Amino acid sequence: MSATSHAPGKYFVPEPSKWPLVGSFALLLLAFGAVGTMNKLAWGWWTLAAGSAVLLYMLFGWFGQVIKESESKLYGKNVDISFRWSMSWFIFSEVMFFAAFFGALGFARLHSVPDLASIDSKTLWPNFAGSWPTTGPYIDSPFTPMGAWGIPALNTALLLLSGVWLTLSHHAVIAGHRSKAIGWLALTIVFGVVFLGFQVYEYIHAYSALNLKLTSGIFGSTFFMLTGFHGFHVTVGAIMLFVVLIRLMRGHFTPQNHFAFEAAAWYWHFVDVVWLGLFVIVYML
Amino acid sequence: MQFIVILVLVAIVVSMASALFFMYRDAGKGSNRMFKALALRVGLSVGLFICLMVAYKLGYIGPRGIGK
Repeated sequence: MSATSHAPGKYFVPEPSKWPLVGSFALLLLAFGAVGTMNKLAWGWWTLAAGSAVLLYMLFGWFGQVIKESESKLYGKNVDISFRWSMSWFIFSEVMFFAAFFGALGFARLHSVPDLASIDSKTLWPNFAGSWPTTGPYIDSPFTPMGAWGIPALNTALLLLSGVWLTLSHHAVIAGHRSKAIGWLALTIVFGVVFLGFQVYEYIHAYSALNLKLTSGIFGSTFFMLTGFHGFHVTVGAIMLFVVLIRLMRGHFTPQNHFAFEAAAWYWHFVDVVWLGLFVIVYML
Repeated sequence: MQFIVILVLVAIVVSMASALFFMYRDAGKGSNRMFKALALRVGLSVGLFICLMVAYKLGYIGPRGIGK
């Protein structure tokens, strides 16, 4: 690439990169690994693990390269705008992702289950009452739904408090108080990790004491799908915040220019709001 | 009760969306509008949660919550 593309005011175009190829190879391994695992083939798990390892290598290498380019002052205003647009579209896709899952729960509760219990379905399912929570008419596996006021309420408090710590960290970044920003951000991550620990405990409790499983019909599948994918997003958000914490410690951000912090913070707030929606809609309604 | 909870949830989503808008619009301007929008959403979320806890303690909502 010629030096002119790196000049100020020009749109930065990176050198040809191996990372898209590495990422494609990782996805190939992941796809074969997932198929092999689901079909209980001996090589399935190994291929899945190898795909995950290659994907992590790509994420670490590619994002690391982007951070190095940013710190080398290769990026101008245009690249900054493209990052913000990219983050906006990523967030839009995440909103649609959760909207589909909440939509599935809403459709099942408000349409499918009442329809299966209606007079029209009495010939097929004469004993199905249709009250929520339910497994559905054809699975006879009684379970106790997860109550809202134990671990779920505690987890809600933990995640909301992590949002408060993150807001304090954000304020410290804008005010130029780096050490305070580092402390509050570290506390945010700790609260996120504790949240995940409690969620693992909640799942163990659901399986062992409540007989609430992924196979518990429509309630079990929507419950674990929504809370499980949310837990995965908390994990991703915590990793993002951890990378931002390292960059904060290295002095990468200024009060005027800290887009990576803003993007990761917005993502964490989003994950926090999704949990609040889950707490109200899945656990309380 | 359900209507109020959903209304606050909508307000939270609106404050999140405005934060996203300000993140894009205020790029490099040193503005704190995004921060203010996110702080508002944190305040609304914590307020909603506290209200739900108080309502539960006072017996306004049952063990499975506002639906019962």
